[in-house]
Amino acid sequence: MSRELTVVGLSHHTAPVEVRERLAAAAADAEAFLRRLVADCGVDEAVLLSTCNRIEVVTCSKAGHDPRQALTRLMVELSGIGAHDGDGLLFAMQGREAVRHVFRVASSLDSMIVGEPQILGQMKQQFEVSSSLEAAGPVLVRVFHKSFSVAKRVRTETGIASRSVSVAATAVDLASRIFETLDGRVVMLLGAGDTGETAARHFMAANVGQIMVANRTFETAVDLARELSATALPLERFRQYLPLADLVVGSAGGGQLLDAEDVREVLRERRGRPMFFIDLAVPRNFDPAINQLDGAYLYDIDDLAAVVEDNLGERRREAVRAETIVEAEVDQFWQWFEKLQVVPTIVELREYADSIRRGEVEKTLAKMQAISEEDRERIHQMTRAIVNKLLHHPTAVLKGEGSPTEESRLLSAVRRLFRLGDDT
Amino acid sequence: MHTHTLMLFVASACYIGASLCYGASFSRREAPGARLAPWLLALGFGIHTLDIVRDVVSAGVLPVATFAGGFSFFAWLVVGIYLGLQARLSLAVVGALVSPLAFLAVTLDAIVRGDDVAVPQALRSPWLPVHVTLAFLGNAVFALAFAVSAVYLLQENLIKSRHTAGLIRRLPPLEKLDRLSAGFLMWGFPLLTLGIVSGGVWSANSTGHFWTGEPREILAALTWLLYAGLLQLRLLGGLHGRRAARWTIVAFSLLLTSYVAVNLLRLGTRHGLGLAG
Repeated sequence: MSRELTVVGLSHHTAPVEVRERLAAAAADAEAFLRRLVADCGVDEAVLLSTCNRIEVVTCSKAGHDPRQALTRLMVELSGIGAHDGDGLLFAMQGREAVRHVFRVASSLDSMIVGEPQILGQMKQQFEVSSSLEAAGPVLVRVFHKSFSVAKRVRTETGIASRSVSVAATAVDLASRIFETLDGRVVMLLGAGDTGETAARHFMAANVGQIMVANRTFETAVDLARELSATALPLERFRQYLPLADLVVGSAGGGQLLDAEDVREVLRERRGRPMFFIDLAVPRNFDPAINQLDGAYLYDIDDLAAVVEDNLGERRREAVRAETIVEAEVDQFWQWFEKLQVVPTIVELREYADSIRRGEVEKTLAKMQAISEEDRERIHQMTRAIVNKLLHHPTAVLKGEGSPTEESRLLSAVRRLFRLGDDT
Repeated sequence: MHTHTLMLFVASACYIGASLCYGASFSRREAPGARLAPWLLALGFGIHTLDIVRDVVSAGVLPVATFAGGFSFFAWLVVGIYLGLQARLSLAVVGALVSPLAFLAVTLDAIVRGDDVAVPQALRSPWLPVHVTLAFLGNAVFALAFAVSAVYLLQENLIKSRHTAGLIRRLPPLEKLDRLSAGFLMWGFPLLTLGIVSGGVWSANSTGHFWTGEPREILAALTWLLYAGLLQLRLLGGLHGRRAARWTIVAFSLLLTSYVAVNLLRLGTRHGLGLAG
C-alpha cells in the first residue's frame, strides 16, 4: 500500500499565542493526543511537535486516504477555536511540501529567530516521545532522522547560527575578541535595571568570575546582587573598585559616569590589562573618547545594535544558502520515498487490472449457460494471460532503474492513469 | 636541473599551495582547502629540511654563505617554529603570513643560488654553526613576535573601528596576541644575546678581536639594545597592547634593515659573507 505524508498544525506564522497555548495544553498529554489522532484520523504513523511556537502533527497514512480534514477538525476542536475561525490559523501540507517543512523546522529556518539553536533539541525530544509510544513508524523515523542530519549539515555548512542576534549576546561575543577567555573575569554592572541584568546573565553564562552591581538606590543593587550571587556597591563608590573590573556595563540613568581621563588612570593602575566598556544607557554613561585609549574598548548601544543588524542580515543571507541545502536533501529523501512506493504501486496496478478482468469475466460467464467447468477455467486463464501480457512491460519499466525524476513522473502517471489509490 | 634546485622548487610549490589554502581559510567559511594548509606547509618544510641536510652533508657547513641561502635558512627556521607551535596555539593567521614568506625565500634561493658554494676558510670554524644557528633562531622567533604584533594591530583596529563583520572572527583575541608577542620576545632575546656573543667568539677566533667596530657589529649592538629595552618595559614597565606591538614591529624592522644593509649593500663585510650579526 503506498503512503502519503501529511503535516497539519499551527505556528507563530499562522496563529496568535492564545491559540497556540490552548492547543499546546490540549496536546500536553502526548500519549492521549496521539492515540486519539490514530483512532480518529485513520493515520498509520504520527509524530507530535509541540513547542511554544508551534503545534504540529506529522503523519503517514495510506495513499488515497486524505487525513487533512480529520486532522484539522481534531486540532480545531482541541484548540477551542470556532470551526470557522480555524481557517487561516491552521496549515496543512502534503507530500514533498510536508517533507520540506519538517526539514526546514529542524534546520531552524521556520523559527521566529532564524538560526536559533533550541528547536533541534526540542524536536529530537518530541520525536523520542512519539517514537516511544510507537506512534512513529518506519517512514516517519526516516523523515525525522533525516531532518536531524539536514539540520546538522545546515549548521556546519552555513553561518546561519554563527552570529549573535541580541545586544547582550553580541557584547559577550565582542568580549571574546578582546579577552582570551571570559573565565574568571570581573564584570561591573552600573545600574541594576533590566538591561543591565540581561547583560549580566549573558556574561554569567559565559562563566565570568565575579559580578559587582552598583546602583544609586543601594537596596535595588542588593536585590539584584542576591539574585546573581554578585557583590552590591553604592554607585558613588564604584570608582574605587573599577580597577578590578575587566568588563564594565553601563546601564544607569543620569548620564555620564566616566570620562577618558578617569579611565586612563584606571588603566595605568591595571598595568595595561585591557578593559571592555559596554554602554547600554541613554544618555550614555561613558565618554566616547574612552575608545581612543590604548587597552580600552567601548561599544555603545548604537554600535551594538548596528552589529546585531549586520548579524541578522548575515543570517538572512546564510538562510538562502540553507534553503538550497534543504531542497537538495528533500530531493534525495523523495527518491527514497518514491522507491518505497514502486512495489505497492505495481501490486495495486495488478489488483486493479485483475478486479476488472474478474468482473468482466463473471458478467460474461453468467450469460453463457452451456459451459463446462473446464471451459470456465480456460476463459479465466486466457484473460489472466491477457492482463499479464499487457502489464508485463509497464511493470518492468516501473521496476527498472530510471533517472529519479523520470521514475517519479512515471509513478504519478501510472497512478493517475489508472486512478490508483483513489477510493472514490 | 640540479637536484638541489628541483627540491627547492617542489618545496616552493608546497609553500605557495599552503599560502593559498591559508588565504582561503580567511576568506570564506568552510573553504575546501583550509584543512590542507598545515599539511602542505609541513610537506614543504620536510622537503626544505632534506635540502638543507643535503647541503650540510655535502658542503660541511650551513648553507648561509649567500644572502639567498641565509634567507632560505631563516624562513626554514620560522616555518619550523610555527609548525612546532601550531598544534598548541591554533594560529592560522600566522601560518597565513609565514607560508608566503617561506615561498619567497625558497623561490629566491632556487633561482639565485648555484649548486656549488665555495666555502671560505673563515666558515670552517666550529664556532660558526653555533653562531649562525643561535642568531638565526633569535631572528626567527623575533619574526614571529613581529607577525603576531602586526595581527594585534590589525585586530585592535577592527575592534576599535567597529568592523565586526568578517575577519575579526577569524583572528585570535587581542589578549592572546599580546601574550604571544611577549612570549616570543622572551624566547628571542636570550637567543639573540647568545648569537651575538658566539659571533664575537668566532670573530675573536678568526681575527683575534672580539669587537672590531664594524657597521654590522654596531647595528647588532643597537638591535640588541632595542630588544633589551623592549623586553625590560614589557616585563617590568607594564608595556602592553598597542604600544608594545608597535615597538615590536619597529625593533624587527631595524633587525631586518641591518640584515639587508649588511648583506646586500655589503656594509663593512670583512669576508664578503652573507652573515647577519
